[in-house]
Amino acid sequence: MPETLGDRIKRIRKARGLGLRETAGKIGISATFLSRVESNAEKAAPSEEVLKKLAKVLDDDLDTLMHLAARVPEDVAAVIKKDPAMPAFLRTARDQEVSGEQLLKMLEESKKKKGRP
Amino acid sequence: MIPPLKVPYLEVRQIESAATELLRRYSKWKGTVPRPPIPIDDIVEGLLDLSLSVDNLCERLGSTDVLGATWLDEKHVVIDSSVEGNLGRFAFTLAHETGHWQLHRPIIEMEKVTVPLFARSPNERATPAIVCRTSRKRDPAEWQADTFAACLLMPASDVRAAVKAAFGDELPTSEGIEARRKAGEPDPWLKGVAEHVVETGNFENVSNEAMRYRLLDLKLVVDASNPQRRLL
Repeated sequence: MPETLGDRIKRIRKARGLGLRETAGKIGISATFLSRVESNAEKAAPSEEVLKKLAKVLDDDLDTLMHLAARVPEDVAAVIKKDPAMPAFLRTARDQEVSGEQLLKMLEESKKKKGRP
Repeated sequence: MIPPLKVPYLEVRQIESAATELLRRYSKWKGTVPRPPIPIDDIVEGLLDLSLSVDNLCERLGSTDVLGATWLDEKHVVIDSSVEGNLGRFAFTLAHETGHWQLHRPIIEMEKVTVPLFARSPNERATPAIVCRTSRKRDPAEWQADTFAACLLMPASDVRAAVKAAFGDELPTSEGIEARRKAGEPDPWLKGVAEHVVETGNFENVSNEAMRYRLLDLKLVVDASNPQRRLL
């Protein structure tokens, strides 16, 4: 079974030796809320602000936490909103089954080619 | 409905010794001797590797007086959300559940494979969880877990040291402590003593009430009206 947001937070928190209440206190949320997120009992995913603080406290990757929370980061949403061609680009990538990782690789290669004399 | 837990009789000194042993294990695991405030969360989540949650237990269990519960097979301790904002009550409830884990889980585990003597009746299944209700505070298992919690969060040596630092070599003395205790009357004098000890000894996660009981149990306050004391 794939790791959920709650599983990941709990796993990393414990690996870092951070207590439940200690972590909740550092983020400024209640231990009850954090506990419910960790046990996948909370229906509403934490806000981006909370996830940012969690990523900082847990020293974890924010994009991964946002992905597991099924949230689109504000800066990414802004890119989509700003560029009218962006939705079509993303749909094409989806239809052609090109992952974000593959796209990043393609861009990296193109950058290298451009750099050649 | 989970039946109340039946446990063998334990003396206070046995419970105190179990709490001290847990602190010794923690000290070895952490590499430093724990001093008040005793890091109960780290003992539970770190040393004992139990999963800790804070949730609305009353709603979950359909009861109105549950403060904590421990699911044995899942190694899962749940503290009721109602005590979250109260540092002393939260720590004491968590230490209480730790008491069940240390003192009573071995009995339940043993009785899964042997003839049941304490934890359950012969035809009953082993209890999946220990649920702590305030209405069952006087049950032996609950009393033992409370005593364990007090010994764990307020180690006798640390309380004695704090009393000495706060009051010197003479133990704090007042008239009628025992009488007020028996009558269930408030004791502002004792409250003040406990407050001073909590502050001096850094017992940040201990409530004034818990410290009052501990001071009385350890005989660190003297009732001047006690005839036995006069004889001495």
